[in-house]
Amino acid sequence: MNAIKKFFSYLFLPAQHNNYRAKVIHHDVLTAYLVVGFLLVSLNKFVVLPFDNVLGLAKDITVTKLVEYTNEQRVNNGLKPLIYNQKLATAAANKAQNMFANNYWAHFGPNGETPWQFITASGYRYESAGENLAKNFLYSKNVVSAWMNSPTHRENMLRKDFTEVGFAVVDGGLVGEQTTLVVQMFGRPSEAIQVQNKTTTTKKITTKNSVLSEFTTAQMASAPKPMIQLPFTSTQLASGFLIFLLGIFALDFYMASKLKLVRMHGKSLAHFIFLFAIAIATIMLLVNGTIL
Amino acid sequence: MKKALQVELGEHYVDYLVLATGTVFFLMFLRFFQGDKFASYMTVLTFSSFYVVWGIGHHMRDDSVNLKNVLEYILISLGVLLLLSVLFFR
Repeated sequence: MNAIKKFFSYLFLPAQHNNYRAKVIHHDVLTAYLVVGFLLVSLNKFVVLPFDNVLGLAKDITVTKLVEYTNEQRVNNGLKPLIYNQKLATAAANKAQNMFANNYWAHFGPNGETPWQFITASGYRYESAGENLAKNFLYSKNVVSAWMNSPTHRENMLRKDFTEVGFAVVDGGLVGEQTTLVVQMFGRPSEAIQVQNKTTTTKKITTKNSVLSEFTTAQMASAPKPMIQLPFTSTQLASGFLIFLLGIFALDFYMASKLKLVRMHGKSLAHFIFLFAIAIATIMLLVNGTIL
Repeated sequence: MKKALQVELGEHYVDYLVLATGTVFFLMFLRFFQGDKFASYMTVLTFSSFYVVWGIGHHMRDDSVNLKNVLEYILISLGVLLLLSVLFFR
């Protein structure tokens, strides 16, 4: 028991046997963290996280809110609100499934998939169409705000041509990370086709969708499996390590002040302030996510 | 600990004021560049570099600058860059 106690004290508390500095923040150990971190990032394709575990963070993104905020922006800019279209929503859902199945984050897929392909496959005939993507957001409002802050996405959001919209909010593993994908598909239905579509039976549309679903499932089955699966996500790992460092530097400062140590090391207080700023930045990045 | 904190901040209040100002600007720029991945990453890179320079400057004023100290600030800055690159390129 004493040996374990001594070992932990050696790792985490400044004392004579670790030169009055916790071993976990010695230069050699800091270098080791860096090398391991670099290897993990470099080998991301081979050391990946399980795809089916729960999201590390709770999110509050719903289609209802996305439609509401999108239309709020359009009305504020003197435009008509968009009508929610189920076919566009199906296209968005199939696009999201395809991104997870083929492990890509882009408007165009690695096998030549285009956004228009998903829209057409859902049975929607259009005169004009558009797509916005987002991932890793926690709130619907932040997704819409991020799109509005980007000139190209804003153009889609406020395009006069578009009259209908569809959304998909799907959880899954993408490029080695558990994430929530948001796909927004805009469209203006082709009038001639709209008339034709009225005569088409619902059965036919259902058949089309089921064929697409089978195709997606087949692709998911053939998606490359990672060699090693870690039981946590890279974001969880990065955040956890940041919290660990914050704790260690706080403890080091406390112990050094308690033992009245005079040292020639870097300042733990400064490190703590720096890492605290980075922790706030991390939260900002996690809440804000990425758009495409 | 409170006393140690007061002593440290009191003795080097200019240094910590500069660090605090840099931190506030960093967070402001990060908020400003929200959604722009490249600009946000450049902001993190600038703040990390600023921290290394701040560390060297602080220890020079403190007459305690040495290679080990400089290495420590560089290692922590690089570590942070690596951590945030995980978040940026996820």
